[in-house]
Amino acid sequence: MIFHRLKTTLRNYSPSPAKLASVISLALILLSWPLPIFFNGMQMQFFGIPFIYFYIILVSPLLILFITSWAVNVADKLDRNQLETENE
Amino acid sequence: MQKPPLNSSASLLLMYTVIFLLCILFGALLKQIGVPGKFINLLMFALVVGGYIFSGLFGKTMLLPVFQNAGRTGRPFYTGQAVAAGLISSSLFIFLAGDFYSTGTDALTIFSGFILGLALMAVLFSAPVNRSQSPTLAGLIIPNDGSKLGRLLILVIVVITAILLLHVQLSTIGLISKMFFNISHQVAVIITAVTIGFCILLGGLQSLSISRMIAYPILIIAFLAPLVWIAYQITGNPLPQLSFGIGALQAISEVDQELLNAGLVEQSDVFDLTREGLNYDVFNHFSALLCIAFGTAAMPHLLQHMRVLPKAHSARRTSVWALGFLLILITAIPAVAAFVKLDIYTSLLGLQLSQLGQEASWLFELNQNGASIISICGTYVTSASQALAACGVSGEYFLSSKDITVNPDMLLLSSGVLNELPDLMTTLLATGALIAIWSTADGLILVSANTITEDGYRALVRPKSPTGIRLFMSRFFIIVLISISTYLSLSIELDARFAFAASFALLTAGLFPALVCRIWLKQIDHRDVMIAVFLGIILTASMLWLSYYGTDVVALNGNEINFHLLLITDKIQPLSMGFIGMLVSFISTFALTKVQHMRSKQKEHNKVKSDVPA
Repeated sequence: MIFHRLKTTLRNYSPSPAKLASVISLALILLSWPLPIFFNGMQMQFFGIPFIYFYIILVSPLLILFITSWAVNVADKLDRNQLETENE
Repeated sequence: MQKPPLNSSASLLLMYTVIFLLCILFGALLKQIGVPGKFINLLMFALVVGGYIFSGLFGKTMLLPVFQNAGRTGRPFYTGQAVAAGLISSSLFIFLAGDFYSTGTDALTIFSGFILGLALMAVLFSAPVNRSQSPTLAGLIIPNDGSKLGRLLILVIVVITAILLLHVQLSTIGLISKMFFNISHQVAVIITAVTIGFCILLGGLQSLSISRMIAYPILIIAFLAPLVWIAYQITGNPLPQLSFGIGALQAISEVDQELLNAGLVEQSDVFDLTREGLNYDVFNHFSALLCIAFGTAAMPHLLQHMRVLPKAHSARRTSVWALGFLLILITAIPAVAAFVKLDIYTSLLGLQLSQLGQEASWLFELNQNGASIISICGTYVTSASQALAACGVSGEYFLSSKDITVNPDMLLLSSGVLNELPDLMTTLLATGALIAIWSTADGLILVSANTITEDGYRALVRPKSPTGIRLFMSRFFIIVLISISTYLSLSIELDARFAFAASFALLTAGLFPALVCRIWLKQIDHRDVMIAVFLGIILTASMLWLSYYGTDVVALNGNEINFHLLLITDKIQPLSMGFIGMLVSFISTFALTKVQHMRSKQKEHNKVKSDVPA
């Protein structure tokens, strides 16, 4: 249910291009550096790698790729909407 | 009508990759029949040179729009490969693994910075650069009838940062040319200049796109093939990204624990990729990471590829593809450091000095070739007697981890030898390093030459110059820039890491704020932005100069100034200076805009007052 709602919200998300760019940029910066600090005390290991390190070298890059790819799709959609509005 | 060369990207890519693989097989065959390794190395060198000559000839053009934007015939997938190959420079391909090995979490600034930078490029700049009609970044920042001084400032930033990065690439050539290809540094730099010059002179951005695109698979094969081999050999799992934890890190930590318990090493000597960095505190780590990210996002030699695409959405997709292609290589780099450390522990640690000749003769052979890879007691030893003399002890002495030092600059290139892989794998790594250097250097020269032509010659000297003359001038400036950078790299010694940091710092303090303000905050006047950028650049450049040269012109002789921020950091690192410069640029822009706004309001108010009849 929550997943479905999130999916619908993300699909219908339609902010201004500048707002989208700033929100996504901040989210990407957050994923790259400040967020790992909160995991610093975790002793867990994944594939023999401490979790904080595993997060920085594998999880965070993949999350960044995923979010960027999503943001690019939304930006394309905004471009199309703007073009349609101009044509009308 | 002739088909545009970039429309054949798929077949070009396939053809060059197949030729490369066939050359590897041929090399293996030659090795089997006893042909010396240096001939096989030269064969691979010739293949790389051939790739560049082919790209130049295949993409050659006499049309300025094709020279400057490849006729907008690129495709996202293939242009993404070109962007990734352009970003994978010597700093990333050769040095980053050594940084992980020697500086702990300091290396994560470069690692995360490059990834974040490409993501920001996709979100912030790729589409606007694609939509811009101007062939340079200055055209995006300054309107056609705008400030000429502003254009000149952008030109200076682009050219200086390119020359600094070019210096890093060309000075690194010496590391590999002598050791692997038996070519002296001077000859290697001249061959580099001639080859990449030939390629971009003929076809400009079209040839550059082809050469970078076909370079990417070679880079990946050259980097991953030896690493996958090592990972499989040690752990049975061919994925280095996932296998180095269990396969290497845990084994290393067990040995370290035993050594600690026996009192043979101190906690500071223990190998831990996650240990706190040597140079970066929290402030420097954060600011250096952002500096690399913002510098990467605004890097002109990568952004020029966005003009190759026909539409804005293709440009965005190109950046996402480039990010994906970068991740394939960069996420495997920490594994190199771990596997090399494990190999040193298993092959050298605990050996008696008298046994070195029988058990680790490869070490002496490496150092005899002038490779300077592993030092014993601080000396690159070539015999057991030298090792005894260096350590000043008897032959009974057992080597401990603090006696063995690895040269971080050579870590990746020596990983094949250290893990006893066939010589061909080391040849592959050297070929990959060569391509990484060339595929960055060519774009830097091209973007600088186009910028000087458009923002210098056309905007300042001859605004109505015909396209034929501009094409000629672009080619002329390519030759001038290649000559200058060749001369500089052979005559001036500049620390490669400092040049890299200075280049990113200037890009972050100058180009990034200018692009953000003019693309996303359109209400800000370009003159305010340029004044603010000038302040940021002057501050950053002064800090960089004073921290490297000090009050004289002799580098690092003790006269240099150590900048610090009270209660925040004891030493501001060069990359962090770019971050501070960027903050100054942004704050000055907003302050100037506010002042202009207040002045125009005051003027309006005065006008209204004067219009009202007394």
